[in-house]
Amino acid sequence: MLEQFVAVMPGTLAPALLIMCLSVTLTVGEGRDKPISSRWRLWAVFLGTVAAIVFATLRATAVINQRTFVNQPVLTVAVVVDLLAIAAVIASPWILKGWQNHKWLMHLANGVGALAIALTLFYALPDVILQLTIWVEPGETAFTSAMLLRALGFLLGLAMSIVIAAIFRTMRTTAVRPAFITAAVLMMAILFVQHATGLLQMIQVHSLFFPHFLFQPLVWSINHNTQMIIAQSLVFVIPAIASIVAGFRMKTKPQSGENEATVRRHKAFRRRAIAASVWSLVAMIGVTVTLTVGIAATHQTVTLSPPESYSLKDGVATIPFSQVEDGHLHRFEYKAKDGTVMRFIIIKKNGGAYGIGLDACENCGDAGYYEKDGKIICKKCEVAINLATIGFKGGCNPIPFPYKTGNGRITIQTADLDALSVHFQ
Amino acid sequence: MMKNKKMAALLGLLLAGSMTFTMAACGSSNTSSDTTKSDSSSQSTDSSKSDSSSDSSASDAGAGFEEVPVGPSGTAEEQDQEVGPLTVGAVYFQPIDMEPSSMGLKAADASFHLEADIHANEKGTELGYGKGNFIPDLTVNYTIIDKSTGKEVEGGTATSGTFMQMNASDGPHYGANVKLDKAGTYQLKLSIESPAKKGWMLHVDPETGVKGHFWTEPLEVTFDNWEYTPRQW
Repeated sequence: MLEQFVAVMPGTLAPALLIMCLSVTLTVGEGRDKPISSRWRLWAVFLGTVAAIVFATLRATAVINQRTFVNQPVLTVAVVVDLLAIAAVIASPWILKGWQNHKWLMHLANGVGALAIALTLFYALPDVILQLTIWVEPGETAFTSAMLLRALGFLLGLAMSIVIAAIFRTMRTTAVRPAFITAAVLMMAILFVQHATGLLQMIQVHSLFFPHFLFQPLVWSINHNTQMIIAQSLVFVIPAIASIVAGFRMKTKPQSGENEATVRRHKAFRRRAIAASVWSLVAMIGVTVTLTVGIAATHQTVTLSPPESYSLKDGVATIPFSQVEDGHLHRFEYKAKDGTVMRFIIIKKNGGAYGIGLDACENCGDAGYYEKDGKIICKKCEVAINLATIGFKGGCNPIPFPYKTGNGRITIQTADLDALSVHFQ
Repeated sequence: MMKNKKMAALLGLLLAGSMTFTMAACGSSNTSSDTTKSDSSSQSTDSSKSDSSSDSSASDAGAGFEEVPVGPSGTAEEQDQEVGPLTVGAVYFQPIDMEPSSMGLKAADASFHLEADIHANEKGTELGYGKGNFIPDLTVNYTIIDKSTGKEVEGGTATSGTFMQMNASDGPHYGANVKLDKAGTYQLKLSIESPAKKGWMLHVDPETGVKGHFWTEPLEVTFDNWEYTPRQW
């Protein structure tokens, strides 16, 4: 669930912030006094989302078997439109002022904004949607309890992006307009860098004309995507500060000639300004924590459980059934004749037989296995080992060795272990 | 109006979530493998894998699945290397699910599927292989080395190990799913042990025997300056 949450939230945050920024900076008029183009951005949200869902569906069902040939033209247009949208946001105070005198300019700004929204959604959402479908393995049903949890993580991630954008939006009236526009422009500039990175990455792989000096900046940009997403939310610290300053500068003591109503309005403004800033700061912290602590939690390194004791006499290791028959993973350590410290594992399988092998496999060496949710997982490649196949050779199965069971115990000739010490060197 | 806009956005995105479920249900069938199969089987039917891979990497226009050669930027085709009796090529493409599933990373956990295409060359005919034939039962160990540190790349999963042998629609190969999210300049090192390690024998009599002998030390192949970036497949 956490994995989906930390993947979906950053994936949807930029589109949510873009929709919010353009709606704040390009909305003008009330009621009938609105440009006809004001609905274009709304349509773009709808179209971009539907197109993204269709594209993701086609990809998930392998009707389309690669995304590059669609994404490359989309991003080529997107990087140009991003720049135009940034220009529109910078010019928005002039465009909005007396927009009826230059309606075409208003329509142009809304058109560019709509296109930017549609393209951003179309590029960002399939990756997010496919986060969920990749977990459906061929031949398996999608309706499992694990999938339900993943879907919950997905929806929570989505909800968090929307809530964060909505919180930042509350500063639109309390922060001075230039502060909000600055944040919007910076956010969109980072989005432009992200789109340009995606485009360059596609060109880099296949085109002979990729300028080589760009590879290192490209690597930097790809490897710092998380930081860029955090930055996209942190830029809203500018309107947050502006909002707090505006709130505190608002006089709440009656001035000469002011009536009670005005004073109340000023007080309300101060309250709202401070609340908007504080909540925005909370939202920024939320994004930062999700993308640092949250992602780190999904990459937790596992420490192997300590080895258990057993009797070792005359070259025979003996482990009583009673010690290992609880169905959990048991780890044992043995020092081979050549001095190598080796480990082996024992687990009782469903059928009552014992799965016995080295705490190492052919693929991953002596990484070791751990138990999680009733599964035995390789620490290195994170493959969940099918219990039934423990004891067989190959893949990431524990390397098997001979043993005997009987009289309520498992006996292992240490010479058999000595012969396999190479796997722990 | 603003409220409506937010609501519509919310509904649209929620729709995305719910659609995923229905879609996941469709995707759970074997359609994906079927389609890939039919697509690429049309590309190559013979056993020579290198032909088909250069086909699909060159045809970036949406014809086949996207296959990327291991090598510097803009490497258009698989860069085959000759080592002893072998021709070795390396490519990567979308992570895939395999059976039995316990043999490697799940597609959902991986960044790509790394594949070594190993065929007999002219010298390989001395071991009794047909030129261009896939050579089974090799032990192919791989390591992805970060060129900036000179050591195995950190932060990935299964960035080193032993390839399994497997069949795809375009024939057999050695491969593994790998998780590697960090872009960078890498080096792919393969160490190939002969089929003798797995008990493969050679006829040595004058009538039916082969001229050559299996190599005794692992053959090393390096694909250098691999400029890798994680991709959306």
